[in-house]
Amino acid sequence: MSNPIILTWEYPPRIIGDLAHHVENLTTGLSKAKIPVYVVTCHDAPYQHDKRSDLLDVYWTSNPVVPHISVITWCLSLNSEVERVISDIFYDKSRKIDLIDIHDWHFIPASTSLKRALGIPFIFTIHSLESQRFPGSTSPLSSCIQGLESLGIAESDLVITKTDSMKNEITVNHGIPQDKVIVIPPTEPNWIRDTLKSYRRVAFKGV
Amino acid sequence: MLTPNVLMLSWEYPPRVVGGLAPHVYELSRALAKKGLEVHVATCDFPGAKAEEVIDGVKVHRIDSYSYPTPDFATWVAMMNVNLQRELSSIIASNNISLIHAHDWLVANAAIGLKHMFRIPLVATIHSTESGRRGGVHNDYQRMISSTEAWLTRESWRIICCSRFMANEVTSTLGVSEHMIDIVPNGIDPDPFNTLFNREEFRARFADTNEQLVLFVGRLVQEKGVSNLVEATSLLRDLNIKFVIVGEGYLKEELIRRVKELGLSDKVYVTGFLDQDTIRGLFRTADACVIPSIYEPFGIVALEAMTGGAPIVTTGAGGLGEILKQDKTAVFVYSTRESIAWGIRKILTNQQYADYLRRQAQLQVKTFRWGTIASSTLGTYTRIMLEYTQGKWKPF
Repeated sequence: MSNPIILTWEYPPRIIGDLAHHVENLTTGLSKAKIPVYVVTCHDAPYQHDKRSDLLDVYWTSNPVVPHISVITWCLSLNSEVERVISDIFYDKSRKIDLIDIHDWHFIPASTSLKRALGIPFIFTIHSLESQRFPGSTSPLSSCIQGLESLGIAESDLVITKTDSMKNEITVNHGIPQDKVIVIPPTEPNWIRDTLKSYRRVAFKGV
Repeated sequence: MLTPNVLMLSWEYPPRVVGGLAPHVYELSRALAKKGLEVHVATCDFPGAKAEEVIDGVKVHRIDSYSYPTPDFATWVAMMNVNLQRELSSIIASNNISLIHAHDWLVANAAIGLKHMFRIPLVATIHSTESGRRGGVHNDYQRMISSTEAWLTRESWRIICCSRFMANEVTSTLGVSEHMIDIVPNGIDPDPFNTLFNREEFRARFADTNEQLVLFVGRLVQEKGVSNLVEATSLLRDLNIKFVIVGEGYLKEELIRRVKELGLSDKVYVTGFLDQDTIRGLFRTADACVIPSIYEPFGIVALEAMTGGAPIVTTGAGGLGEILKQDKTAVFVYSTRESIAWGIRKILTNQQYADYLRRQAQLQVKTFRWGTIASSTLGTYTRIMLEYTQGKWKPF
């Protein structure tokens, strides 16, 4: 297993909700397992690279367009910048990127395009869905985010969720097979090992 | 290697025609294909239009752009780019695309992402800027578009503008170095203007035999100066003129109301949308064509009037001042009703002068054939490919 990219819109010091802490715990756990990891995230500063240890590289992307009128327009121009940063990593590392693990919906377009353009498979780790954050919302913005979530679920190679109920909701609502969604509760002691197992499943196509 | 396989990205392409972008991309892509280039055009889908087709050697890909509900135009544009990008990876890979050509900010997200993922150069044509269209940027919506335009120019190997006026605007509002810009004008295909045509019969659809026909063609928006033309009509009551105003836009109802107020409803005909054949017929029939623009990056309507043989009255705004010459191919006027009326009167009351303008314009317009424009564009492509070939930024 070499060089997964973890793609998240939150990573310390940018902390908005629980996502930043979860991804930090994940990268710490992967480092302990001797897995070299690239984190690509966003930060309102010029694009820069932060080598935090021999096994952990953090890449900050900043939005090339300022200002924005909505979270969708903000997110989608940032996706193109994420594509630039990940493509640069990909070519610099002579294609040695096994997979991308994206956390929630923000970078689904980039992950989909990188998979189609460069053949990098991706895992969609779902912490929450728009329908859970804003139950019953039919606003165009919510519908748009739900559309992106559907795209991510359809295009990803594997979906990771935290609970059985969420798995059930995803498989029923999106009509995807049960075995495309796996449940890894981050409260379980072996969650890093299970996450790694899922990475291997995607990177090596089940080998 | 120096002759690239080109992928053009444009949100407009026939049958979706919103402004001048669609005909530009249609004609340029055909002219480049005629020169032997492999040219693909990626655009949005359109009801009734084929998802894939080959038009005069150009491979057209119309990509689903309406899958997601969106709250506003800018968000729709962003989602359209998601769809474009998702589908274009396989098209780039399977057709050995070696150059991406983006037209305007609306395709920036997709074009820039694809450039980096495939490490192939990007060239952008900036047809107009948000600042120019709005007379400055006044709110966050406009600032976002302007910032996207700046980003697209930063990411482009070279930038194409259709006039010196536009090049200056791109330099001053988007911070682009002048040496990054190539000026390649718009072009025109004269063939559709040379079809068999019963002038008198056609003319009778719009004007009485004793009326002179004065034409305006363009979007009915503030920047086109059409309100000044409507005001000028009231100063020309002594001449027997039928004014034909062709186009759609947010000013349409206001213009019709104003014409009524002036008591000129029988003399000013606001037609709304007309098909291209009818518009060409009007250019071939009109005794004068008025182009009263306040902002005009290029002014393709001038090429159409020149080709059709309609003597031109114009403010010479923006690119119009580079295409036309005072007292040689047009009458230049100020953006006031008095000056516009003076220009129209000058043409309509001096047949010899009108004929001179018509003849000179028809000679001058020959330099704007699409074959010539494609050659200039190819020059930009070749320069980019040469620099790219010599550089280190490549997939491997």
